[in-house]
Amino acid sequence: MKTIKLYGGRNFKTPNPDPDTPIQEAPPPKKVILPLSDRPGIYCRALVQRGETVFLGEKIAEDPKNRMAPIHSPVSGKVTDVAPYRYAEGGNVLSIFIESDEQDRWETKPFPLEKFADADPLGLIRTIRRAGVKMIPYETLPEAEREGARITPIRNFVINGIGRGFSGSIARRLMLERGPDLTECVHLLKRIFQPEKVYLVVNEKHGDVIRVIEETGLAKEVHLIQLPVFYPLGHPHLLYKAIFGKEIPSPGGIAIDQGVAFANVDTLLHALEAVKLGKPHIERYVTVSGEGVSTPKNLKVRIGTPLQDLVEFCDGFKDKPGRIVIGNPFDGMAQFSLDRPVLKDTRWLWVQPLAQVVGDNYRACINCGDCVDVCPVGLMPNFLGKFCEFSRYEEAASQYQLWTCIECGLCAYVCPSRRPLVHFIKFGKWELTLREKENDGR
Amino acid sequence: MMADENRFYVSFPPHVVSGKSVSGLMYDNLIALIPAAAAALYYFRAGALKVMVLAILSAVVCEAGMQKFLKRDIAVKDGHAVLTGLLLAFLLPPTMPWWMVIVGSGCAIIVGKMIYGEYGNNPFNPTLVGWVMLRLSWPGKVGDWVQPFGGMIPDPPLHVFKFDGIEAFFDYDFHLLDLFLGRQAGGMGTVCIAALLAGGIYLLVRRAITWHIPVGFLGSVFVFGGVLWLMDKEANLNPLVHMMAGGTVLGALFLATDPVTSPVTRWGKLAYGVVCGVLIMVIRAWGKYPDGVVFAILLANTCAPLLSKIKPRVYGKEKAVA
Repeated sequence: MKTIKLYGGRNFKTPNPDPDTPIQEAPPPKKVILPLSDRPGIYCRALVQRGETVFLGEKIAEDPKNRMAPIHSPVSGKVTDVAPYRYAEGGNVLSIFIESDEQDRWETKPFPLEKFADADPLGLIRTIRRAGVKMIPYETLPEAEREGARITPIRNFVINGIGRGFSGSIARRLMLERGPDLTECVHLLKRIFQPEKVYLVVNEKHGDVIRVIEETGLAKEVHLIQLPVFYPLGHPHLLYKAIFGKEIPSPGGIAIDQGVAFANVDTLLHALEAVKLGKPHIERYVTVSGEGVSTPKNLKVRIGTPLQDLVEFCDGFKDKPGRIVIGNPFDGMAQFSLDRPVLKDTRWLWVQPLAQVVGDNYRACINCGDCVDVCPVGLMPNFLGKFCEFSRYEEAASQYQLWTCIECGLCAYVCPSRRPLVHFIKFGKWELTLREKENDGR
Repeated sequence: MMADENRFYVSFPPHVVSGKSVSGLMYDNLIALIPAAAAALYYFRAGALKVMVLAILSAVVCEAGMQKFLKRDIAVKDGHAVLTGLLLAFLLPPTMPWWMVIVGSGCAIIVGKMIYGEYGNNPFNPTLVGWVMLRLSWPGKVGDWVQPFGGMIPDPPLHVFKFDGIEAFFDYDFHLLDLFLGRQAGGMGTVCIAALLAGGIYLLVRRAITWHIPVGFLGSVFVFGGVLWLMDKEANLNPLVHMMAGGTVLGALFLATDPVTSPVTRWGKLAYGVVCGVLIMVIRAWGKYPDGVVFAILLANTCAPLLSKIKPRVYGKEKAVA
């Protein structure tokens, strides 16, 4: 048990042994599954068919409209199927199934670009996008200009070294182990976006990270910001407020509009690898933790690896597992199958033993106000929950700012009545979106 | 076997809970009331025991019976019925006839809570509903005060002040220490201020309540009483007597802090405490009742939804353009 600090200044105990071990490379998977969509409504087109042989790093799917990053094969082998696969997040998604031949043959050797100091920024952005790295939202890239999207210059670039504020394990390990590379990442950033300032946010309690940053010269390149970290400080809205003292207009405002871009440490490293080594985005850094696994580890895994392989590499389950969650215990998605692959946005696999699973029985709201105290964006989740429970979504949106909610999960965590407030809020947003669509159709 | 191993719970986030629960809140309240219950037993002996046991038992039986009748899950073990019964007993004198206690306690549970649904939907504090029903039906019996063990006079100080006048009050020669330790007549759980304060500190340490309602409540009683006292020291009571006599402390720490019937936000809670305190002093200074705590809190309960409109500032909300 360790104590975590939540927004609102309260401390709560939560079982979360955080692995602080060096990043290990997991063995390449036998089979991979690659979904062709990362957001509802946006699809890649498969460039391979069943039975075809693919090489490591070969581009196997791309979006003709360029809204989504292309997908590269993380193994060399044979495409066994292109078929729908069911995900916990969004139902059936057309996916490519590849069986590895375990030889890891590259199509062509990646040609590295050693010097990017005088390269064309646009070319660098294209290289990064072609490698399949989702660095910052597409709307801000020069490529979007042709399609009429507006471009905001990025004045400040914030590198997030604290994760979501709850467990920055991967970011922390990367900063410890790959300090010199990070310095190069900052050079790359400055070349591409030409921001006025680059900030690096770290946890003020991590003295070793700060020492490494100062030793490697990274401290000279960035404005180091040391913050007392609490969950969910890593959310861009809260980080923006913590750094600049201002707020992003909500609901609907995004940080880019203020000229601020956020990126995680691991994303930057992938971008650097894409530029420097010419390597497509086929690997991810994933923390496997929770009381349900035998040895929590920080891993470097291929995209598309089934969760089963991750768990096996961590010596299997300790007790009978209850929930497997991708993401953190507060807002992650519980998965129903260990076949589910690691995707480009997977950072954390959290396993909860069966003994710790609590039921979802809830009772009437008792108006205690704990959720109001703990809400990091100043909402009143008790009223939002009541309105959405009884189908009064418009009132929730107009009177209690439903859309401002960042879905961090703290309200439901502290609720003594165990009301699934985040679930109600998400449901309300979903229903409102449906109604909007209906109205548009009329 | 393999198939069984690979079955997982799928549910909405968050997947962890803080461990705070409604029954936990109720048990914290009950633990906090133990010193006051002990003081009641010390000062009022067997009568107190009889009233407390009867009130708790009838509240539990009424709740269980009502839930059975409404075909709901029996939820008496969350402790709210026990708490309601105990708090109702604390407001009563130890000489209450047994059937009146049962009627009051049953009324508190059925009319005060169960007809609205489960705990959380009731607009008024069930304890107060039960007490008001008894007070309006049998005022003589509810006002049948007895002299506590070691006390001096058979009437509560505020009654002396209201009905016999300030001279009679001074004639009795109250000491503040007597009031603090509970050597005064009154509702059997309300007399011992020291025990109640100990319970209140326990609640604050356990975070079962926040400081806003008690501070607003007691602060406004003290300030209002102090202003009256400074204006005319011959005709008004010392504000400390106002705070230590009657049900003020029980109301501030245990009755007004009932989460269901108090506002949600912190500033709303503070305002709610102030409303309670001001109403008490208005009733005591110009009203008919000598001790207006229960009526003041009931009135303030009606304002609670309004006071919940004092919202915290929402992140990034644009200021309304005038």
